[in-house]
Amino acid sequence: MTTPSVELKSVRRDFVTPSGDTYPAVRDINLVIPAGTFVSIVGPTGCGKSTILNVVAGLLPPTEGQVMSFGKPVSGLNAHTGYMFQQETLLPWKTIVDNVRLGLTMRGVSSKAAKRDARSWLKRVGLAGFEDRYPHQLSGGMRKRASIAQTLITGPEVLLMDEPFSALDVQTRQVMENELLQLWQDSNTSVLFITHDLDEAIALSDEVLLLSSGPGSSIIGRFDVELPRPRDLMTVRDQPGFTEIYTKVWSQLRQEVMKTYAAI
Amino acid sequence: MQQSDLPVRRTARARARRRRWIVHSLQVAIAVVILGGWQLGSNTGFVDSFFFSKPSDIAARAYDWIKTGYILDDLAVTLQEAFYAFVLGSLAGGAVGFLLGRVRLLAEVFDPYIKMLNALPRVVLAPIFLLWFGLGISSKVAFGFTLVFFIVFFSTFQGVRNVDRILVDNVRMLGGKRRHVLRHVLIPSTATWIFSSLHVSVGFAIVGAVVGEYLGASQGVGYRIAQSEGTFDTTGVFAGMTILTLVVLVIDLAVNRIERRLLRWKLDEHMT
Ligand SMILES: Nc1ncnc2c1ncn2[C@@H]1O[C@H](COP(=O)(O)OP(=O)(O)O)[C@@H](O)[C@H]1O
Ligand SMILES: [Mg+2]
Repeated sequence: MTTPSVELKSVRRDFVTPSGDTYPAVRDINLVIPAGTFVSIVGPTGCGKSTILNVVAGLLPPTEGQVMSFGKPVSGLNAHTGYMFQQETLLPWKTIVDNVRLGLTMRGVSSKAAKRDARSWLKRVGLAGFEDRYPHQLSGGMRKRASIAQTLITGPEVLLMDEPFSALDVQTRQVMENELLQLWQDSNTSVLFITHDLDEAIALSDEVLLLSSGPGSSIIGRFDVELPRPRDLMTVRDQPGFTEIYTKVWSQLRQEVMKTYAAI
Repeated sequence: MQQSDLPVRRTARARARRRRWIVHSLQVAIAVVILGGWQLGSNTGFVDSFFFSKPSDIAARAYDWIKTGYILDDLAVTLQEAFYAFVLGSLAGGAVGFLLGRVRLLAEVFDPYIKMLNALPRVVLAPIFLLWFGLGISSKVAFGFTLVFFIVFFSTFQGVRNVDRILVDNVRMLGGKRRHVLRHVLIPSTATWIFSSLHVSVGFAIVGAVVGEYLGASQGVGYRIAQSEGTFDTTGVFAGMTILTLVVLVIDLAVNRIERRLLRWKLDEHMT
């Protein structure tokens, strides 16, 4: 067995609220992402999904527990990971091509080579011809594509994606999901994908992890998705196995969603 | 679809053009009414031209001053003072603002002093600066500096404090070190705030120079205005004001262009 790309062991993360209390966001998080697999985390809003991703990225140290990446403990930023944040992160004062090549430029790649690479990535995500625009001149979906290119250009071994498509309309979203699967199949990356959309999680992943509602959320369900690959997002939902697993996860997820609402 | 849109777009453009024409006409009309009324009032003695002069005299005087070159040396001195005040004030304000924005402890320690200095009505400094730096240009530069400094200081400080955390995190995740974060996020983000105060700081640099000259100098537009005032020459006072206003307008247009260039990533012009 090869070393997993990411491993969390009994991770707990607390926050200090403005009033000085300790708020436990997540606890008892154990997860393993074998190299090259696609794992999703699903859970109700505010349950700590982004927190887990920040811990894996090394942006937030865990309060307790251990974070491993490719067999080594993570201290400081996790250099194996590329992170697509939930928020918009393109630099508004840089053109799209300059945004996409940033990771290479900061690694000392010559501006000519970096630009060439960035252009070819922009073509892959369907943004050829938009190189010299500024982010505010693109639509939300186009900015997300540019962000994907910006993250992937440095060739991360683990891709962390925080609800990347949640702000998109249904059509754009399906196209982008397909593209993501394509990009992932062509590379050897692992993906840790956050979503609150169960349908999306099942369609894309090898494994779906279900997070309970907070405070102190933990993983309360693990479901292997054994639908054949390569998958086509347009038809995957019609496969017999899909509905079966969907029903199974949903019955458990629904209880968690109800708990979240009951708490409010 | 395309064809049916076209006439709609054309009428919209025609409407916009018509509207612009109306606005311009009304603007000209206002100027004509005010200047014409003023002129007429002084001609008929309804307005006392000793106190208010009259537009035709003011225009003639301004033209004369420019043609003979009488005012041009003064203008050069005033602009030179404003320029130094602007450059030095911006550099110092930017540097201190950046430092205090980055180092929390310094910001907390200096907070009351900065509030105090900013609350001080700056005009009272002018006489002191005259004593310290003399009647030459240094005292005006120093005075303009105190005005520009705080404008730039506050916008830089705000700019550094308001840097979007997520942009910093993203650049770090892309492999950026401290210097990369500084170069690609902190400086451009702060520069936006500084540029947005460009109009105000340029204006204050000129105000500093003119007010400084007015209070004590041997050259400069402010000095000419003060001199005319001393001889009850209201025409001279208004002529000085008119020339100054025109020059500031031209500078403001130039600042507009610079701002548009520097903040082009914010503009919608190139959208298709
Ligand atoms: N920096 C922080 N300080 C205090 N509380 C935080 C912070 N970040 C997140 N939280 C809290 O932790 C919980 C989980 O947040 P998050 O991971 O963003 O949830 P999700 O991404 O699942 O919507 C929320 O209740 C949130 O308010
Ligand atoms: Mg989140």
